[in-house]
Amino acid sequence: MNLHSFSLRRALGHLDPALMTGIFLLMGISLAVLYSGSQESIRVVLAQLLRFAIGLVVLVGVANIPPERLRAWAPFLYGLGLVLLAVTLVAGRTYLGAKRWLGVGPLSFQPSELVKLALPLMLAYYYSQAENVQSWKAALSGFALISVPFLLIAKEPDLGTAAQIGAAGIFTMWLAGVRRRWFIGLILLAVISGPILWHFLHGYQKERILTFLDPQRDPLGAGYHIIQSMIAIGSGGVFGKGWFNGTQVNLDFLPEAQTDFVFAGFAEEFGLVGVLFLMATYLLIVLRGLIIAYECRDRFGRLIAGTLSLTFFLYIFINMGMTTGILPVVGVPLPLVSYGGTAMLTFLIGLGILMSVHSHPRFHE
Amino acid sequence: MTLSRQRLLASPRPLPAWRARAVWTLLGLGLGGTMLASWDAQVLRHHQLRDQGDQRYLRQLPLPLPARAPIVDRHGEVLAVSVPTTTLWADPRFFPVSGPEFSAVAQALHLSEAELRQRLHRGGSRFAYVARQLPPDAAAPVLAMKVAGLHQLLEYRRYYPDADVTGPLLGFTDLDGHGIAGIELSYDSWLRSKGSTATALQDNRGRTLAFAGLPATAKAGQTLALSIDRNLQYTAYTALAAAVQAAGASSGSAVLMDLRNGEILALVSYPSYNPNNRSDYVAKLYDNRALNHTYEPGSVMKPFAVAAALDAGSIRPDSRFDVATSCYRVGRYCIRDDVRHGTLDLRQVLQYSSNIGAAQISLRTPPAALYGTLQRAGFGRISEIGFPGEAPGNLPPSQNWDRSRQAAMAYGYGISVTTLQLAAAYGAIARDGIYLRPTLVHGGNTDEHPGPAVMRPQTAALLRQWLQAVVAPGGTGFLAAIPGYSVAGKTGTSALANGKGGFHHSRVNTSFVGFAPAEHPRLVMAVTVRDPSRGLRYGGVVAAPVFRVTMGAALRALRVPPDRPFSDGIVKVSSTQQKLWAEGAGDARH
Repeated sequence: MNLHSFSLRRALGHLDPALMTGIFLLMGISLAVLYSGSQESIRVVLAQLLRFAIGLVVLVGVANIPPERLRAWAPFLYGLGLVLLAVTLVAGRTYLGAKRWLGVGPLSFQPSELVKLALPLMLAYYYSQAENVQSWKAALSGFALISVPFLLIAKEPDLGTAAQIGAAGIFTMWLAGVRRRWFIGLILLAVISGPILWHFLHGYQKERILTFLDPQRDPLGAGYHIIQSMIAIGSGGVFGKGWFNGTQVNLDFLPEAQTDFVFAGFAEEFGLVGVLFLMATYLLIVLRGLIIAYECRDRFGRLIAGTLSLTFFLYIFINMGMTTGILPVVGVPLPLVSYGGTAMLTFLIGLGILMSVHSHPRFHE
Repeated sequence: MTLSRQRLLASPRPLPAWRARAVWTLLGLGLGGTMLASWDAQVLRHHQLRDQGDQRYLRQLPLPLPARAPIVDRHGEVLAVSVPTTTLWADPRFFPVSGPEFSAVAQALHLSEAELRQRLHRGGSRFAYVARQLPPDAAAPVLAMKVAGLHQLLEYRRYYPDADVTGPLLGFTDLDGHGIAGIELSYDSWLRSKGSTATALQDNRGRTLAFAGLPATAKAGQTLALSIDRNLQYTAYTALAAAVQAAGASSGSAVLMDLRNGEILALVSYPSYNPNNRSDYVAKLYDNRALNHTYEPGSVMKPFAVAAALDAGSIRPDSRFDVATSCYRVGRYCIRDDVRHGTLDLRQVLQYSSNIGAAQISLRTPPAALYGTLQRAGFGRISEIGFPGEAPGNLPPSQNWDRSRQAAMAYGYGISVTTLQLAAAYGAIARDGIYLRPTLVHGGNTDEHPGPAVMRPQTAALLRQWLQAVVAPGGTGFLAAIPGYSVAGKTGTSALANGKGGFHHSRVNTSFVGFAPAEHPRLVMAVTVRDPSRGLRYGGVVAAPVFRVTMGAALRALRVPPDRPFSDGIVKVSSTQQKLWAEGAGDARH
């Protein structure tokens, strides 16, 4: 695309109205919750607003990239991701005992965020050109592509993210048509190796799982987050305590109230009604993404759209699940609502890819 | 169109229905699980979780406690006051237990690091005292360090300006400002400020954001005005202390009472302690010897035996008694006088303090009459003056008296009394026989009911007259005379019980009780000095001077008009003469 042919109207034409509605609703919810949870700090709201603005610009840019170009970049992005992960292991910044960040000067970022997109792209690329996805070769190649970044991230250690990218990869393989027996085998392997893997877990990882099973075993330590979170959600009731009236959030009882546990603060102030509205908004995005995948006539587009939609749902489920106590606590932000930049950018790029898949007619019926 | 383009456009295999179903199932499970969890928390467990949340931020906060009210004397002069101090406490969750800040705090407080660490261990998980009741000046530099988890608290420290002068009377408070002895204890609920709490909205760091509803106001304690006159208290204390020390005695006490209203102007006990410095006192000093201790009073009881006999009609005012014997035998006992006299009238029995005379009087009188007089005079029961541990003394019922007990009661054995009881009982002699309840509170005797009549007014008048002879030259209490004023009183010198049913031969309790001016009494005072070990060990020598000094000062302070020429009270006598007078020999042998 050259400068002469650039038209804002055409650039915005690649945006999907349904997805954009969902995105703007979530951003509105995010700002409302952050404003209340930050003791009405306009600074926090402006910072988040700035991130949204940057994210939206990136989203428009990504939506304008034709899928075939994304497809062509996939192996390079994947390779870059692996290199960066390797570098992180060697020269990354250690924070709270884990090497997850790669820093250049004041900037730092997590290569695993790149891999969250690069791995599905790579798998979609691979399966879109594979001759026979039912072959054992196709299956093993898929597992190999997943396990390299999986192991690198698990080594950081960041088991939560490793599991997430692993799951995303499995989604692609499932949608691509890899034979069912491989998935059954994988489940069996997980069940059998679970007790063995337990011994390889770090202390805090075991702690998280034990705490998940019984938060009251250490109410001031590992169980603290989940207990405060449950109280926040439960005390919201059906209609919530009202905007600014959440005591768990505003009185500092709820930890990570603006990041990973933002859902609890939202649920406290807006109740079950608010939760249903939030769910509906997320469902709008996920279903729209799946429809885009369904309507797509291209293998790559279809795989990447389906995978990204399911992964998006997976993040929502993990975050809400850990806040409501049905999943162990892993550091996953609530998509587009939690305060913070990197993860949000990843989500917006993912949604941009969805829009690109949908808006480029050659890939669409 | 390229090959790749063709392949891209080639319609992909549709997703098999069972694969799609698996995807939908996964979505449904995730969505359903999340919804169920929300429903469970927000609807099913809503109340329970909301209550847990409320417990987290609604706190009952104690409001700042106003200071304990001061105790003042009858003129409003401060006897006890609470001064604000700074108490440092730490929240062990945030306070560093080592490192340079910890060392700096320990150093600034002049504590060893081990001691400071121990104090932190003594506290709870969120509160530990670091240093209590520091002068604000001393706490300021520590607070200025701004150490995490170190906080201050306003506490009050009780301060007693007159220290040992008022120590055993006022008592003291504990570190938390609760009275635990003396007036501080008995009037604790009056003096103490009532704390109250307010329901407050607090955040997780314990910062108060708002109060829910109207906070109840804390109720400040009320100032207690004692009947004590600070100056007279001081005079009495120094006079008593001087007497106890000069005589090498073990202890002493004195009570000065205003006869118009029963208000105690001075109440002193020696040895004493300094309540401002609790490190140097011993348990036995806590006691107020005027109120908590009893003793066998001896001859100071003789006027009551005389009064009982006169009122019962068993003797007449002009009765005379033959005491010319060295041993007046009653049952197994031999009653003696220090000096042998011949025949004595009632005035002389009192002036020379004749035990034989008193015994004869008592033995002529029905025991119930003497018992009744003593009981009405306040012996054997507490005066209800409102002091912790006030001793009732012991007045055995007259049915149990044998003849020797009946005789001994007349000269003050077989009965135990407090110094306060003696002062109040003599008050009845001074007030035409009417008992006056003593009080320690300024304006405390408001009820108009007159006390019981202890004796007939005529009897009281005769005693007032005769008791002046005791203080006159030749009487045992001549050292109690006050220039310019008529004084009536009685000495007492009683052997100390040895705790084995007998008495010490050389250890005595000395006392003097009297009032002035004798004809129109305004003040009554009782003085007791226990176990003098030096010089002449007589009430008239050891205790009477305390009376003279204090009573003289009090009469002048209260501007009581003198009723005698000032030259009258000044008598110059030889030490030999002094000894004879003090032991009851008078001017001549009879």
